[in-house]
Amino acid sequence: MTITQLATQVSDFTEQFQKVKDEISKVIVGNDEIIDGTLISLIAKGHVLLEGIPGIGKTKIVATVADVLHLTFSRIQFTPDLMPGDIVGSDVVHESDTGEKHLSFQRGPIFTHILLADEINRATPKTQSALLEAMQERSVTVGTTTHRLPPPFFVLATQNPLEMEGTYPLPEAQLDRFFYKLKISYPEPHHMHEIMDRTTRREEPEAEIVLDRDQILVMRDTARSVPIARAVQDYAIRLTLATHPDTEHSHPLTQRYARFGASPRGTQTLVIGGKVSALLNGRIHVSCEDIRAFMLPALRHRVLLNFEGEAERIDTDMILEAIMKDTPEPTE
Amino acid sequence: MSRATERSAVTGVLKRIDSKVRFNQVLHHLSIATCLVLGVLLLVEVAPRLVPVSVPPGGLIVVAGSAAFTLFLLWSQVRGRRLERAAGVIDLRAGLNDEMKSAYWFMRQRDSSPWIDLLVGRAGETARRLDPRGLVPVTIPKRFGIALVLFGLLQLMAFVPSNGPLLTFVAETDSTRFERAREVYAEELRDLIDGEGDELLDEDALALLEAALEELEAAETSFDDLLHDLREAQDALDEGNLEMAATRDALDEMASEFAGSDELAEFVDALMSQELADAADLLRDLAERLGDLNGQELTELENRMQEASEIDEPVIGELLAALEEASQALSENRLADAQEALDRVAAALEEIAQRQARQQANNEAAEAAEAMQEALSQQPGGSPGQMQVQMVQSQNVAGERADALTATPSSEVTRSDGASPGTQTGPAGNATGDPSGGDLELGATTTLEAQLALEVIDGTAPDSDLEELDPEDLFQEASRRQTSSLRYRDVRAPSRYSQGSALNAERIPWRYRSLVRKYFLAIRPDERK
Repeated sequence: MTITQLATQVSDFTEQFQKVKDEISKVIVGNDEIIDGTLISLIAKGHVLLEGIPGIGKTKIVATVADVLHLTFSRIQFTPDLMPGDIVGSDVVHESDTGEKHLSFQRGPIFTHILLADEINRATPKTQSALLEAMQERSVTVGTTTHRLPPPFFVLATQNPLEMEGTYPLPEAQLDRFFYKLKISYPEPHHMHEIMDRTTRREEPEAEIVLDRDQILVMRDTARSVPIARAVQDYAIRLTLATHPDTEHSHPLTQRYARFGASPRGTQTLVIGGKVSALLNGRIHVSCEDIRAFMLPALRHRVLLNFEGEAERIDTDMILEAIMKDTPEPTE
Repeated sequence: MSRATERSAVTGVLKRIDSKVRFNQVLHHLSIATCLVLGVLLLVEVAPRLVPVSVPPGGLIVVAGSAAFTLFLLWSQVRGRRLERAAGVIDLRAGLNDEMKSAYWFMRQRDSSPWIDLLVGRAGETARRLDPRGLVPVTIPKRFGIALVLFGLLQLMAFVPSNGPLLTFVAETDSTRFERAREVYAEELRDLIDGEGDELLDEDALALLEAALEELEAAETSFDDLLHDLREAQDALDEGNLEMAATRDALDEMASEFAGSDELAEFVDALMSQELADAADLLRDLAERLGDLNGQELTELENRMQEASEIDEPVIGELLAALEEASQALSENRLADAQEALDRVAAALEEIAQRQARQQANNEAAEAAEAMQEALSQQPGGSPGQMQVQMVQSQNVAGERADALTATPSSEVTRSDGASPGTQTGPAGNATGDPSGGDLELGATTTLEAQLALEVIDGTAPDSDLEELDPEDLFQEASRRQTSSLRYRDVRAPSRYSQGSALNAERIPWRYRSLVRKYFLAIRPDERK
């Protein structure tokens, strides 16, 4: 590949990303950070956990993303009686025209490109595990047969932070599987007007397909190729280590309120997210600003509070913001 | 453009920026060095005007400062270029979001890929657009302003006349502490001698105190010697108390003999209340009124006087003798002689009254001396000179140990009795000793003065064979009866010193004080019980 071709690839990346974003924005009002985070996760081969109160468009965002990407989309409403087989599928007995009976695998809704796992914390841990294993391995095993999931496989899980009764909070190890945890907040008043204007008319706006599967796979390759200098990578590592309560880089707030810090997977998230962010900003190198840009959604679910932090209702975002503020950028 | 061209563009900008950063750093360090040197020069100029200190010459400071700065400058220059730092500076000042840092890092890795080439190419384009002069302008540090002010002050100091140090700080050494304490005690002694008056004080005690004061003023004594003198003076001052007690007892007995007589009722009251001057006046009145008394009254008076004169009290022997003469004269109806004898009795009473007043003054002086003794007992040691003597004596002990090894004792220890100080003389020993018995290196001869505590033996010696008893046996006999005791005064001062030192020395850390206080409050007995 020549430099010219590469430059074209980079500009295409930015162009396509912007095109997708613009198309989504036809349906979704505001929530730029959520849309960016979702698309970056998709490009970075990650999955997203969306957290927000009911009725603010979590499902709508996911559905719209699926619409504009020309990818298959499935939705699973997680309930306490949902079984793993209901997600991954199972072997069922088929009878042929000749009367022969044989087992054949009936694919579950997980065999899709974009999967919306709605209210994931309402299912039992066993069922959650079935999904989370698929998220990590990108394959499901039924009986003795392993079935690969079609790339790109992208899970958007939602959970409601208000209702805790009858829910099974995701274990910390499984939370780590999510690339970003995005918090959807209530829309601003001016966004509310726009939402009302768009959704209370006879015709609601519809998003068109602007990107296909192959283009997404190319974008994934492009993003991962972005070089990162050692100093910037070191900055990402220092930021991650600062979330640990017992390292030399520990931040005072972490020492006081955190039980565990982010795993190396957290650093990977920072770096890959930083690469996508760099491309989106027209750069072909990762800067410290790119690392910081999505640090909150990348690490907020990876920092576990201790008893004191829980008792004082400390928000991990507050700790991460302090870490960002106090961790110096490399000078050389 | 070729890859090499882009790389050289990046490197060229980095080198230019690095040179400018270095130049600014040199200015920065030069400003610090100038401020330091000028500050030290100003200090050297000002300090001797304030306090008596010796300072190095200004030229030496300038040369030393310049040499140190030159060495630092050479070291900083030979460290080589730091283009990474220059890349960081460019990124920061031009807002390049780590572009130069990333490009230079990948250039150093010597990896080649389209991505890196593109990155370096873009960095090269950026580098060409940069203005190194604008990015890193020559900056004159503000410290040069401070240096200018310091230089001005230094020039001003040349016009300020120096009349020696304004302040004198002298660390209080042992000798100065001793000197201060010596002055305090001398003042107290002076007050003691002047305040009580020469006439009323015991002459021996007065002589002792005056001698002590003279030695103290001349700094020819130590605190221990002063303590010794004060004890002797106090003993002398106390001596009259026994006699005065006996006198009081005798006068009381005499008054009891006169009790019952109407003519002598007031006289007896005055005697009993120890108002001896009044008693003397009353007695003189009685002598003048003798002619007015009838025969019966005279006879009763004669009998009372006769009985009173017969009491056995040698301390008022003169008074009793005059009283007997008065009684004799009354019996022979020689009123004039009786009057004269009664006048002599009155005179004797007045003399006793004067002695009592003197003793009262003595007692007050003794109390003052005792207070001084207590204060002296808490002094950590004698004079500095005496401390030196003690050091030499400790060397003597070491020398004696060395002598003991060679079985050739070089000194003889003589124990004196308790009342008089003993002396021990001997050569100053070689601290390391000489086991081979070679010639010792002798120091100056020193004197050890020892004062043993005075022990009073109240025991009663056996009546028989008193002459045959050895004095040591007599002491042992008294000790076995457990009647040997030290004077309370000799024991009290050390004990008080011990209490004081314990209270002052056993310091409790602040953080534990509350705990200790609570503990003692908890174990305190209930006061209501």
